[in-house]
This record gives sequence, C-alpha cells and structure tokens, in this order.
Amino acid sequence: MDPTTEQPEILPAAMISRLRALDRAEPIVDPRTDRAVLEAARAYFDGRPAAARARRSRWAVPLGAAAAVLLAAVLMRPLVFQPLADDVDGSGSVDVLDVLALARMRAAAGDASGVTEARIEELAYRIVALDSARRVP
Amino acid sequence: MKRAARVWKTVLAVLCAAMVLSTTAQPEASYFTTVDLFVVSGTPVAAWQVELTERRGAMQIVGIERGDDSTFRDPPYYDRVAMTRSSTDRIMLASFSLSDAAQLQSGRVRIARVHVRMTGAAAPDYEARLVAAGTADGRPIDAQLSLETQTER
Amino acid sequence: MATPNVATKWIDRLASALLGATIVLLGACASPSYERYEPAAGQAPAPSESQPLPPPAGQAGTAQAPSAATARTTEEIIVSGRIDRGDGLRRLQMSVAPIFTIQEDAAAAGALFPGMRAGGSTLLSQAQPGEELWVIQTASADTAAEDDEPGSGTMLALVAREPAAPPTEVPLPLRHTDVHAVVTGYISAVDVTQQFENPYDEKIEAVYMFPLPEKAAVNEFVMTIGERKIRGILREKEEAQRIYEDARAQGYRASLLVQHRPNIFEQKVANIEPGKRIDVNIRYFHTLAYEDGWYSFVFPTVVGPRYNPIGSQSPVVALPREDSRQPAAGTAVRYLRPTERSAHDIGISVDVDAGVEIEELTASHEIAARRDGGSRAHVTLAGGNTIPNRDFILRFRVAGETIKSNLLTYTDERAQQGYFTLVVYPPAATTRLRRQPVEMVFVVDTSGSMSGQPIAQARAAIHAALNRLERSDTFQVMNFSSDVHQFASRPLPATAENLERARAYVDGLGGQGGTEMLSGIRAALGFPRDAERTRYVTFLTDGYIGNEAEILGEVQRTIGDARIFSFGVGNSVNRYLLDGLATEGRGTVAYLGLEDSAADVMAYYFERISRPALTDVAIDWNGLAATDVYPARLPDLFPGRPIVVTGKFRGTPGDVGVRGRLGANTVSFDVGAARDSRQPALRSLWARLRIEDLARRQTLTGDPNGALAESIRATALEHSLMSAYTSFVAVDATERTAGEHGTTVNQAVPVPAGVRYDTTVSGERRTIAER
Repeated sequence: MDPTTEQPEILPAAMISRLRALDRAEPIVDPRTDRAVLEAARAYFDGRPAAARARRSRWAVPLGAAAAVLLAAVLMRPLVFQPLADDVDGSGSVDVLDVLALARMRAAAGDASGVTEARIEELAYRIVALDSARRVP
Repeated sequence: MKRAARVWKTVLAVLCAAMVLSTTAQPEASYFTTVDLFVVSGTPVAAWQVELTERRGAMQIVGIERGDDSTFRDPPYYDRVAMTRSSTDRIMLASFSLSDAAQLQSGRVRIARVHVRMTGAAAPDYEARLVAAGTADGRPIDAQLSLETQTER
Repeated sequence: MATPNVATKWIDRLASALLGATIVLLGACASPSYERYEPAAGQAPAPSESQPLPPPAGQAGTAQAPSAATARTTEEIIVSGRIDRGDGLRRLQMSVAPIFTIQEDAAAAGALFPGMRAGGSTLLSQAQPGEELWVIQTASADTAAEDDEPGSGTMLALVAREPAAPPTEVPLPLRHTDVHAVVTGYISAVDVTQQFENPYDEKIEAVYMFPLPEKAAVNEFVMTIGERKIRGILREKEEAQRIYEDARAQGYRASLLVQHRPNIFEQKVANIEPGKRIDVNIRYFHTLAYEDGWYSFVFPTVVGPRYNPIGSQSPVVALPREDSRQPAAGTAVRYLRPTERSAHDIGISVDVDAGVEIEELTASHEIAARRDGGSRAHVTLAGGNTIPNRDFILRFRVAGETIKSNLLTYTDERAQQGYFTLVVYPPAATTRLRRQPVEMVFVVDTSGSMSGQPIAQARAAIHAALNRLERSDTFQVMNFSSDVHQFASRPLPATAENLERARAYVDGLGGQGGTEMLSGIRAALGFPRDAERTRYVTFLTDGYIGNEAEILGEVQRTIGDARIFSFGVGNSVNRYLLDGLATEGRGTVAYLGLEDSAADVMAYYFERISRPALTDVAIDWNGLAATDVYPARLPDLFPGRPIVVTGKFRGTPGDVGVRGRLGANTVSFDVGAARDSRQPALRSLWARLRIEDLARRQTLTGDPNGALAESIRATALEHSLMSAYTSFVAVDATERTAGEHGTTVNQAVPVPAGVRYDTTVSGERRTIAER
C-alpha cells in the first residue's frame, strides 16, 4: 500500500454517538432545591463538635487537593500525556531535532547509550518521508 | 457507397497524419538546473529540515548535495522511494552536525543543493518551508529560509 | 463558391494527397537497417585511427556519398572521430542520426579522402553540413598512432613486440578502486569507490564493465567531484538512461550505473574534463557464504571473457582493447593484451565483527591482518598485490560449537512491516551412514577459456574423484566445448579397468573452442536414469558464458531427481552461474582456485555426499505470520552448509522450528527465540532475494505478459535497489563543461589470472564475424 495515498480514518457512527452522549450540558437545579440542600448542610455541620471541625478543616483541604491532583494525573495521563515514541526531545513533534538528540546521545555514550547508528538512520529517513509531511500552504 | 468510401478515406488520412505528427514531434525540451537552499540565522545551526516544492510538478531530481558545512551528514537525508518516481512536486531534506556551536556557521548558510532536470519551457515555481532548525544542544531556532536557483539553457 | 460536386472532388484529392504524403513520410522516417560489418578475410580489426581524415576534396567539413555500386552498409554504432578541415581538428555538431555507408574500395575512397591509406576502409556518411560526421577507419596493422589522443573511443599505445618486455602501460581513465567492507555476523556492508581520472587533453566519457557479487543488494550511489558529493537517484532503467544521455549531450558531468547481469554492471561517467577526476561510490549489502565453520567474504575484481552461442539474446562480448565496435545486442568487455597493463589498481580493507571467537583467518591474496579482541579483525590487502585480475576471498573460521540456527528480525516501524532472516544449520548429531551407490557423471568444460591451468586443475579434480569411486558406483565422463564428447556410450561400473581407461581419457582433455554448455547440460541430464542409483552430475567449469538464463532454465526443467554439484575452476569464475547451477540442481557449489588442492576439494566433496542431507525441509512458524518467504522452495540441508531463509512477518516473532527427513527418519529441532538485529540491511536483503526469485521465474516461464518484470521493477524502486530494470543516475547540474560531449573511452581490463587471452578474447572476434 502506498502510504502517500492513505486516507484519514473515519470513526464508526456508534462511537461518534457515544462520544457525543458524554458531552452533556450541565444540569439546571431548581433554586428552592438548592437552598434546601444548603440549609441542611449547614445544620449538619453546625451540630458537630468544634475541635473535630477544626481538625478536619486544617488538613482536609490540603490532603483532599493533593489526592484529587494525584488521581487526576493517574487517570488523565493516558488521555492527555501520550508521549510519541520518536519524540526524543519531548517537543511534541518528531523532526530533525529528535534525530540530533539521538545522535548526541550516541556520541556521548557510544553503545552504552542504547542508540545504534541504524536507529539514527531509520528515524532520519522517517522524518523526511513525504507521506508524513504537510504540504506547503 | 462512393460517399462513404470518400469519408473513410478522409478519416484515415487525418488519422495517419496525426500519427505521423505525434511520432515525429520533438520531445519536450529539458534543461538542468540547481536549487540552493539557505538558512539564515544569527545562531549557529546544527540541524535543519526543509521541504521544497515545485508547484508545476515538473521537477525531476537528479542529484542531492550537501551544503557548505562539511561537518553535516553527507548527503542530506531525503525520501529515496518517493524520488524514484518519474517526477515529483516536492522533497523533504534534513541533516545535522555533531560539531560544537563554535565550529558551526551562522548567518546565511547554504545547507543543500538539489540538482534538477526540468521539462518544458515554463519557468519553475519553487516554494520552500523550514520545518525545523536547531542549535548544537538541540534547542529549536527561529530561522529564515531562502533559495536560489540558476537556469542555463 | 464551388458547387458541392467540385468541393467533394477537392476533398477527395486532398485526402488522397495527405494519405500519400503520410505513407512517404513514414517510409522516410523508418530506421535504416544495417548489415553486420565483417572485416576482410585475414584482416583483423585494427586499432581505431586517431589521425584525422581530410575532408572530401572540394567539400570542406562534409562527406560525399560513395557510388551505390561500391557501398555496403554497417550496423555498428560508431564513436565520433575527427575530420581534418585543414584548419585543425574539428568535430561537428550532431542533430540527427546519419545513415552510414562503408567504402571498401580504397582507391575510390582515396579520391574522396586524399589522406587515406591504402588497404583501409572507411565509413562515410550521408550527413549534411551542420550535422555530425561519424567516421571510423580501420587501418592496416602497422598503423602508428598517437597515444595521447582519445581517437575513436579507444586509447592507442606503442605495444612491445617482444613478449619478454615488461608490460606497456596503457593510459586509461580508471585509476583506482577502493573497497571497504564492514562484516557484522554474516552480513557485510561494502563501499566500492571507483576513481576516474582523465589523462588526455580532451573531455572523455569513461565506460567500465565490472563485477559485483551476484546477490549484492546495491542501494547507494554517490558521485564525488572534488569535495562535493552528489547522491544519485534510482530510477527506471530507461528513464535513467534518458537523463544521463540528456546531461551528457548538454555537457553536464553525470554518471550512470546499469546492471547487465546480476553480477555484471556498467559504470558510465560523462564529461570528465582533461586532468580532472570524478569518483563514483557504490554501496551494497551482501551475506557471507558459510561452510563447515568458515565464512567467506568474496569481492570479484574482473569479468571473465564470455562465450556467447550463436543466437544469444543479450551476449557479453569479449573484445580486444583497441576494438571500438559495439555489438548490435548485449554489451562488450574490453581486455588488455598480456603485454599491456593499465594503471588501475585496487585497495581492499575489511572490518570483521564475527560476534563469536575467530579461530583462523585466510585470504586469496597477501594481506595484513590486525586482531582486535577475539571476535574482531581488521584486514587490508598487502601492497604489491593490487592488480585486479582475480577474486579477493577472505575466509575466517569461527568456533564451531557456538554456531546455532538463529532468527534475526528487523521492523520497519514506518511501514509497520517486519523482516526476518532465518539461518538453519544442520543438527550436529548427524550420524554417518554408508554412502549409497551413485551414478557419477563428470561434465568438464574444455573450452578455450579453460586452456592452461584451469583444465589442469579440472583434470586433477576428476582423477581425485575417480579414486574415490566404489565398485557399486557407475560413472561417465563428458566434456564440452564447441560440441560434446563422452568417454563411453553409457555409464560404466567403476571397475579398475574402466577407471584406468577413464583416467587416460581425462589426461587427453585440453581447452579450446567455444563453450556450448547447454549441450553439456542436455547430455548430462538427458539420458535414461538408473533406477538404483541417484545421478550426481559434477560440473567443472569457469562459467564464462553469456547465456546463463538459458542454462539455468534448462536445468530447472530437466533436473528431475538428479543432483548437480558445480565446481568453479579458476580465479575469477562466474559465481552467478555456478551458484545458480547448484541451486537449480539442488546440490552445492564448490570453488577450486588455481592454487587450491584439487584432491582436498574432491575429498571434501565426497565427504559431503557420504553424509545424508536433511530433505523435505519445512519450517514451523508457530504463530509468526510469515509471508513472501524466499527461497520459496527450501533446498536440502547439507551437513556444514546452512539454509538461509528470508521473509516478511507481522506480529511478535515467537519460537520457530524446523523439521525434515533424514533417510527414513523425521528430524525436528528448534531455532530459538528471535533477535532484533536493528539492521535495516535485512529489508534490502529480503528485497534482493525477492528480485532473484522473480528473475528465476522469468527464466522458467519467459514472462510473456511482462508481469514478472513489473514486479521486479516495483520491488526494486520501493526498496531503492539496482536491478535489471532500475539504474542509478547522478547529474552535476551546477555548470556545463566546455566543449562538446567527450569521446567515449572503454576501460579495458586484464583477463583473469590463469586465463589465456588468445583462446578467449580473440576467439570472440571470430564469433562476431562469423554470424
């Protein structure tokens, strides 16, 4: 197959509809319900011992924030942070600077770098392949 | 019947004439030229990647040559499979050097020369794009790209 | 206004006139046909004359057609000559191909060209003023010539008359060939740099025919001019030729690499200016042969003079250096006389990383070797040993017990395609069985190229083989040159009396005549088979023939259950043919150099046929989705000689197993886990073997629809490889060189060491003239 004639993939219709279902608008809450929930919450917290409230209020927020960040990082990592296999310099794109990075690694440490000349050549030829390059606008 | 024979004879004559004209027609003239690519940067360039396009699609690459800096990989990298086609409208080139910054050139530096065979009388319509350029320690550079051609027919 | 009747009449007349004019024009544009030029009886084609010919009287710069009564036509493509127009040497511009005629009447020619010598003959042209005049003159043998002028495409030199005189150096453009190989395991990456330098005072085009290993995957081509390196582009063969001719005609420096055979290539370099140098670098990948612990790296240095049977489609013609004729079909290799030599020398260096302990290192030439640890070595050709007239062979032996079957892979991540090379070594525990009775047919090449040392080696080899036959064997001896002869009317039992008679017959074998190998093949395979014995055809030849495809096709069709064991006898044999005979004949190949011991080689050969091979070999891929596997038909697995299988795969390679039959038993063994080689060379090697397989099928089927040719072309272009349908071309478009395009100078080469010039090169001339 000639890679220069590849067409971009089109997602199945079922997947498209499922993705759209996830993209929901925020629910609209009745103001009276909102007020009632707030008053109930206040009443609950007002009835708790002061010391316990203080302890919880001193550590709860920082710990909770840290836990939330950690959880977000773990869960979101596959979706947000997907490093490209050849993006050696982590720039977000694969180009000659990645080839240079590989070559510099090999120049610095030789075989111990784990980078071979063949690997450098392979990546170099890949970045100049016409099927992966954008046309001049 | 006589009219039909006359018509057939006329058609045959025209077809024969067209065939002879097409076979005796001179092939489209061709000429050779070069395209020099330059990177303009105040910072020494250690790596570059360039895309060259010829809008008429009549460009036939007949040779690839590195630029003025002998420390760069020689010749530059390019898509060898795509170049085997009879003619192409674009080529991507890239190269790098492992020299220290002090040994690299800055300013207007010729990075590559493309030897081209063009067919037809119309002037070529080139466009070049600098995909990436970087320093000796791998930092990207905001550089400019220019090209020069020479035509001698 | 004309009436309709008159109008139709005029249309009628116009159509008739147009039709008639078209027919006339078509006839005028038809290519002229040429008859073959034949030298007069007893007159050999003499060195092309560089001395300018004066123009016809009264017509400065033009030629006059001779009278039709004395004119003959010639089909030769003539290189440009010179016309003396009285004001110095000139060359005229060319616009259309002239129609050549030849004037044999010296007296009549003398009237047209006053300066012409008696006894010569001249080609005259019907070209018009302003068109290029192509002139060739064959002069008498004692013509003195300047050897510092390009002349008609060849260089002339004063040749020493006494054989004992030291060789005369002939100025030719190829000065040096530098070879640098890096061997990693059994894969070699080789860089060949040819240095062309113009020793004349005019521009030239250099043409050089040279060999490379027949399985070489050539994928890089760089033209170097001074400090500048211009990488060439692989294109379809015809397109590359057009580009090169265009550049050459316009005065640009250019180079073109063309494949004529899998092991014969032609290098052309255009517009080399006087005193200037142009280098051409070629890179190829190649796998080393392995046998009984020894790896062999071979670099061929010269194309041996080939014999081309009448009717050969694409001959490789052997011509003397001074013969500037171009064959009507095929191509030509020019040879230096034994009393001549050129300045061309060769340098070879090999860096070996065997991956395992190297126990021993030998070479065909004197070398300087430096060891670097146990598994590495750096080898260079020693000085004084640099005349390129025999193959360079470097052999190194590795620790036998460490050699195991292995699977190497490489993944092209861009194409998401994996390539593998599977090397299958026969299992070590192969019991020795008593050799079964065989019908041994010795087929010996007794053509002119075998004259001298090669036929002596072949005789010694057959004597050694006859000594090893057992009473239960039968044998026959055949020899072929221009025709086929045989020792007996049918194979005879190997009794003492029969063997004695056979030895006398072998002692009478010499080397002369042509090489009708096809007849030899047919004779060896064509007579009825012995149901109780396997026919082993032992073929001894240097392989100097030009119709390899025909020979291999015949073997494919008629081998049946026989086996062919080919022996290459000489120092620069045609390995493409010999390996092909072994492959198609399901046997093996051995090489008997002129300095090797024939007895040792034959002893080894009988040792091999005494130990049974693993037959019906099959691979258990165990989940590896292998496709496009080559060779498609696995050969027998002989002791000491591995099978190399290459192919594509997808997915994760797992364990691979091999099974086969050893006599009545089934044997199986594992290859082991795959190893990622990270070597892009595996992709090129796979493509090269695919091309070879397609070419093999072409030989068998003839490729009537051209589908195989298209597949070869597509594979070669996709993998950037040289092939019969693709060529490399490079053009320096920076500037045009001054003056017209240069004279073509064919690089003459020495005949291979041990080959006689007088029975090979001059014989070819007679073959051409007799057609």
